Amino acid sequence: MEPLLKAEKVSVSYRTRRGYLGALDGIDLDLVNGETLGIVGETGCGKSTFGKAVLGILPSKTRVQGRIVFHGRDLVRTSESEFRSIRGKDIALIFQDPMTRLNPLMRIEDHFVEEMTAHEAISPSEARKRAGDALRSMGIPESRFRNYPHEFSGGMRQRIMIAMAIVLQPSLLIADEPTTSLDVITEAHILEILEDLKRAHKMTLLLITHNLGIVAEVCDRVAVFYAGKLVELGSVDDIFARPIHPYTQGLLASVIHLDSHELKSIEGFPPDLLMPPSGCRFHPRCPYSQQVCHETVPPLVEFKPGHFAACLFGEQFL
Amino acid sequence: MTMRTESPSGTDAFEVSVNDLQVHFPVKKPFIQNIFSRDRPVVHAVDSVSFRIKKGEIFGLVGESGSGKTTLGKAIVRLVEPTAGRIMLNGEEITHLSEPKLRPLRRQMQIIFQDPHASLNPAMTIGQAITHPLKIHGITKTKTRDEVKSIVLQVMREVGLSPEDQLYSKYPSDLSGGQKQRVAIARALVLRPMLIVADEPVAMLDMSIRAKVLQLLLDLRSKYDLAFVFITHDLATAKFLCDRIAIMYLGRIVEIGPSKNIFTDPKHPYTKALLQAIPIPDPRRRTAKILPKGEVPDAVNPPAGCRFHPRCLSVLPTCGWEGRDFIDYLEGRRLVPRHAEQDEQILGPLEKWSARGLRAEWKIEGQDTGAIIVYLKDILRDANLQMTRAVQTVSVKDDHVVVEFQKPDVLLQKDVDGRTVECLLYQ
Repeated sequence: MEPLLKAEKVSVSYRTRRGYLGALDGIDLDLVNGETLGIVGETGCGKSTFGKAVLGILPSKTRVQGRIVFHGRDLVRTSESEFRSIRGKDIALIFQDPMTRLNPLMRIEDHFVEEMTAHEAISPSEARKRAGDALRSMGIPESRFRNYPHEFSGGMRQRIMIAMAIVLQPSLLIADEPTTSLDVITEAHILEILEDLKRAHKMTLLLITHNLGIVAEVCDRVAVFYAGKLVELGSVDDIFARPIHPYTQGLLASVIHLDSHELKSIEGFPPDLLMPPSGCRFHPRCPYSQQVCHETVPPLVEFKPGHFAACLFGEQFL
Repeated sequence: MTMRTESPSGTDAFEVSVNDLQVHFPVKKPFIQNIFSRDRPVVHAVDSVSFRIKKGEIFGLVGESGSGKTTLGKAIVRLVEPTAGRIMLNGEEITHLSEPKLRPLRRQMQIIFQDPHASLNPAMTIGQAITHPLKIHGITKTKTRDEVKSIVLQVMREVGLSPEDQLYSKYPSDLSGGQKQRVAIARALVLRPMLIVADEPVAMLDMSIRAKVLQLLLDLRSKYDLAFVFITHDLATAKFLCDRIAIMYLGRIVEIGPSKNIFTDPKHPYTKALLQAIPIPDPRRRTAKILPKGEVPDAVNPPAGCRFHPRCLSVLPTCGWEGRDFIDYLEGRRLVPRHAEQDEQILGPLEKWSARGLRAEWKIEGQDTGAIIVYLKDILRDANLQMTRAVQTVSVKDDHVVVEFQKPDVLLQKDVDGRTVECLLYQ
């Protein structure tokens, strides 16, 4: 099946005072129509950068290489004016903090009207009607449509954001840490909403998160990022049952859950991306690292059908 | 007053006890409104909570945002002023102790915050940051520079900040998040306190380094018999770390006891809901969750009776149903287009309905009250059965259509299976 989104050798370097910082390095990743793909990793692994690259919202003077093909178009080479017609309409985004997206001086309803009239030839009254449907479907009562963003609770704001993201029926929804600032019960509600939407609208969801519990609960496949590299990719079942890459193993072991009996962590710190380690970027922290890991960059290899990992000794962990 | 310089509490018994503590914050209103209106709304951040913390104990305060856990943690170390109740430190009341009298006692009780980036001064070196509390408490005066520095280096080693002599002259911006949090811990520890209030100390850290910081807290506890108040929204971490926990909801402790008892057999419906909501990092254990509806309500006007009753899945007719629960029900119905139209026609716009305590009412202007009452009774059949059962009368009183609820039962704290729980199910 033709993927909805195909990233080929995507590298992104941010310009910093100390030189170019390679936030992503040669990412190959496909998104299949209708699936939920989770991107997990820790601070600075490049997971949010990937989402931003797909949406074309990287800071100016950022170096982007490779191709991101979506509906036959390379998003890396798409101009800002063309992007405006894609963003929001074909690809929508849900942020961690809804207040960064909602204008504090604008009534909730007007956000929708603005968004819809920007993309479609639609009358404000028609836009208002569709906004109402979207908001009601997210449990926001009509009496609140004319309120301002600050008058809502965190969970309600996130539901408003979701309503805005889906009102134009995009084929791809990117959710970057959509529940990180929410409480567990509200988080569980939002995840249920996302699942229902996916089913109802056959949407493809790219879920960027650091929370492996969320990945296990809602994703079909997982991509594990470490220091700008894709280190493992596979179905949630495979990756949670038998992670191949030592980083994934360490990450899964360090999750504290209700059945945890001991505390585990990964030695050391993630590397400075201005001076990434040679060979495998995880080698300084890897308990299994050999001399060859210092010298050779491990390619992403398919160890089992659909289960890829970038580890020279991957076979030992099958 | 004598100041002990080495260990303020030495090996004496240590106990903090909190009795019926209440912290209310006034709601800021525009000046004019303040002149013309008599009511002084307050945020019920913490409402009558009691517990004890013993030497060497890790006591967890667990709850969602707005539960009052952080306010309570700050109140224990007197960073916010309690509005009622008592805090006792080793038998001495400190609830309203003046700042000069409090200062020596503060050595015994320190606090660390969630965000290590915000809690360190970017212009102070790590050495200066950790020396600072020693200066404030006058300890540097009696010591030479080298002695002070060696105290600081010693504590840096203890919290795992190595190489300590190099990091000593570094700035916070040179450190990782985990290291910064260790600096914050060192700064609290350097005074050799008996209690550290740790407010979400690992929430901002990456998963792979959280464990190390938590292990450090456990090590410090066993080494110094240090007590912790561990404030968190993460039940899994609380389960792992805490000896006892208190589950907070909207300013109240709803369940408190040994963590083992609470986690193996939670009693309060809120505790059960929290435990169920946690995502499980195992795709083979995906289950449909039965979640309490809605979100935590406003702490300015907490719900009557049990504060959790509007969201509770095990609610009873006597849990505290009141007028606004009925109005919330009407509001919910308007999300459904086929109800919305008819409701609007017969019950008028929602804004015309108001709640006064146990009553929800609507001022009639010539409508057919008989038909309205029939309609209200009819739609009550679709409502939460327990709420419907709690309705005492649907009637017309002084030009108003009134839905009135029965009085709730008095909520008491009960000891059930090795913990204390505040829920009518167990009374």
